[in-house]
Amino acid sequence: MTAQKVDIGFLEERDNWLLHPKFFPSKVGGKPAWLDLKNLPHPNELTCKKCSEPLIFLCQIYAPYEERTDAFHRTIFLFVCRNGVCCQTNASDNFLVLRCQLSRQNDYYSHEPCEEIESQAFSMDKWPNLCNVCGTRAPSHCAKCKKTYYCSRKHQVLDWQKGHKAMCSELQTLDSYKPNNFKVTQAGKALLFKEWELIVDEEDEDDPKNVDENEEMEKLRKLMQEKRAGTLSNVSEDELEQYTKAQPEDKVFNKFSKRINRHPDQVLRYDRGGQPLWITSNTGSCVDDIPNCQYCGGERQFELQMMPQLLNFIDVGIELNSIDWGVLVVYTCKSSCNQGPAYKQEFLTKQDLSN
Amino acid sequence: MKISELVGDEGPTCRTYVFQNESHTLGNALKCIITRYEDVDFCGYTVPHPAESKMHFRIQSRETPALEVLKRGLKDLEKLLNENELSFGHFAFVSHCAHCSTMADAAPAGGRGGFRGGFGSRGGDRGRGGPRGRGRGRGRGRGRGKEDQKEWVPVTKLGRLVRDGKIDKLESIYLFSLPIKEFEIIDFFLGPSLNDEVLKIMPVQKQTRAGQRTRFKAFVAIGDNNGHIGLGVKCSKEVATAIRGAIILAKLSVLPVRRGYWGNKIGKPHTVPCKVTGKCGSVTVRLIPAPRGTGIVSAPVPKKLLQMAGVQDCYTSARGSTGTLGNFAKATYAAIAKTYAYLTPDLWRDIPLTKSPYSEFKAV
Repeated sequence: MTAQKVDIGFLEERDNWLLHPKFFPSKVGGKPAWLDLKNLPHPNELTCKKCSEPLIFLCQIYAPYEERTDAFHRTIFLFVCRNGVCCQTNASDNFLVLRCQLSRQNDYYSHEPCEEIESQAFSMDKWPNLCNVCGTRAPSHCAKCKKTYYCSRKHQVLDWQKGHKAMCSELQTLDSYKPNNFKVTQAGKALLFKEWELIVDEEDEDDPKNVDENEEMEKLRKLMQEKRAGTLSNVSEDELEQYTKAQPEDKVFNKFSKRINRHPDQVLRYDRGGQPLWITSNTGSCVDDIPNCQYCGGERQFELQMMPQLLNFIDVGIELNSIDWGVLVVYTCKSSCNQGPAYKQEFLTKQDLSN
Repeated sequence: MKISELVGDEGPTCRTYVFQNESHTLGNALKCIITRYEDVDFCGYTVPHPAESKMHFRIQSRETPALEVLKRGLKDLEKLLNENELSFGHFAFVSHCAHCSTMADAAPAGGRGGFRGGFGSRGGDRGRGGPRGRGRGRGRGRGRGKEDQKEWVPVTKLGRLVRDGKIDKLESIYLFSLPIKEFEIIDFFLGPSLNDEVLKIMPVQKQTRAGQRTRFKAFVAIGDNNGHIGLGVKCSKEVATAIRGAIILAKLSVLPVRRGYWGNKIGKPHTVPCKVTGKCGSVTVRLIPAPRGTGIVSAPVPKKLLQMAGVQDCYTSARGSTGTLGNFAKATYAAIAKTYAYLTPDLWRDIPLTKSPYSEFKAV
């Protein structure tokens, strides 16, 4: 029986229209492509626990459960606080994970997959309005034109400065205004991360090399003959040994490096029910208390982890306090229950490379 | 490969070709290529009857004659196969083609009905690389070439700063004692000037129930003969892997070595700046500045290290039970590290504190 293969995620650029919710994309950055379009999370839910600013969308992964009919469509959303100060070592208060699932027959999308045609319209009239800046649910709107919606005062102010000021009066008179539901606006570009599509593939296998010891001894003998086997061959092993490694070796990090070397630019590792690939040795603090699912009381299991290479693709700044992580490990309800609100909170733990 | 043409009705731009002894393997691949041509209105293929090894291939284009389109398509397919053969292997591509065509023909099992992206499924139809896959086959392009240089994607914050060029010297990292976890950082700064030298390779054996297990231990010293030295050890089942691993570990342990003068300050620094001692256990090792031309007067290992660090002349003196070689070596290493820790008179002047690389740069 072969071990379960880990799925690896990579980033690729993609046109914005292809990342519309009707295609059930997996993506990073930009606005969230919501799954359940009606029962969206309220902006109060999407605020940073530390600074109370609205969180912005980091990534979403489309990961259906074959075993459940009501999880035919299932997406996991990750949100993060833009404020770098909220990001602290081995604490995950500035992150939020939401899970949403739908059955194949639902009110929002057709039973069959959508054609990939750019011009095909998808009506959002029946569903709640989305914030012009960050794409989350927007209870308030601009008092002047009444056509642009915002999730919070902060985003309204930001949008006003970044271009709405010029357009507001025009919009008042314009009848056929199409809101930028999933497209990133001018204001969004300053705040949100760059938009990418997340493509998932299987991890390469490591070929177990069958090493012939005798062959290797032969190679060594040949090297010694050519005088390439060592200029200090007469020195004892103990003496040489003592020079090396003043720093204690981080074996977990070495294992991590070796594993990601198969795919250096991976940003996601998906292995539902498996074990996370930790980045350094102090895993104890992270794994001790994984809470049970707060909706059904069942156990949570490891589902996926985000890798630090993701930070290369999104611009987080280089200050002393900027968004940084070693690995982000996400635990979700084992049975993917359907109780509670449409967007259920899941558990995330962050492991940093401590200094 | 025999190709014949069916009687056409709409002129030279719309034609059906019959391929003898071909089926989905060629048909699907060729169709995928030809549909992308701008001039082609329609392109499709069919196997009219499974018992007959024939394949009908239909091309409908606007202006170019169908025969030209077909020839171009075949040429492009050949080019594609050649490229893939280099990195993927002919059989893998053909089997993938066959797999794609079977998936295209049969209705996808498992009931996902064409919704792509179901990679979370286990045992069901994964839907990946299926009919809706938009160039999803990254596996093809990635290739099995493990030897080709993969671009470095940093994992640590320091790595990201280095790769973006925000840190100008390796010394800034040393100044703040930041831990270096990725050897590519050292490569970035010192890369071309680093010379590595294999000090020793020795087989070590471990007794197991099934006989003896031999592994190879490699000691590698790395330095740029200009103030940087590192030493690495790696044990592995293969000689080449051990050497490669030891080089990486040596790069990670690179230390700066300070050099100074013995007497008049003419020319470049050639010896240790002052008398430094390192102590470990009962052994104290003392490095003493020496005049030019003395060479390094010491035991073999520190001699090699000092040479690679760029120290040309040095006296050493040891005290204590130097028979304990371990302590002797550690003491020498400690002494070398102290060259930068020693406060010499020329450093008495107040130097303003510089900011750490992390806090030096503000986001734009």
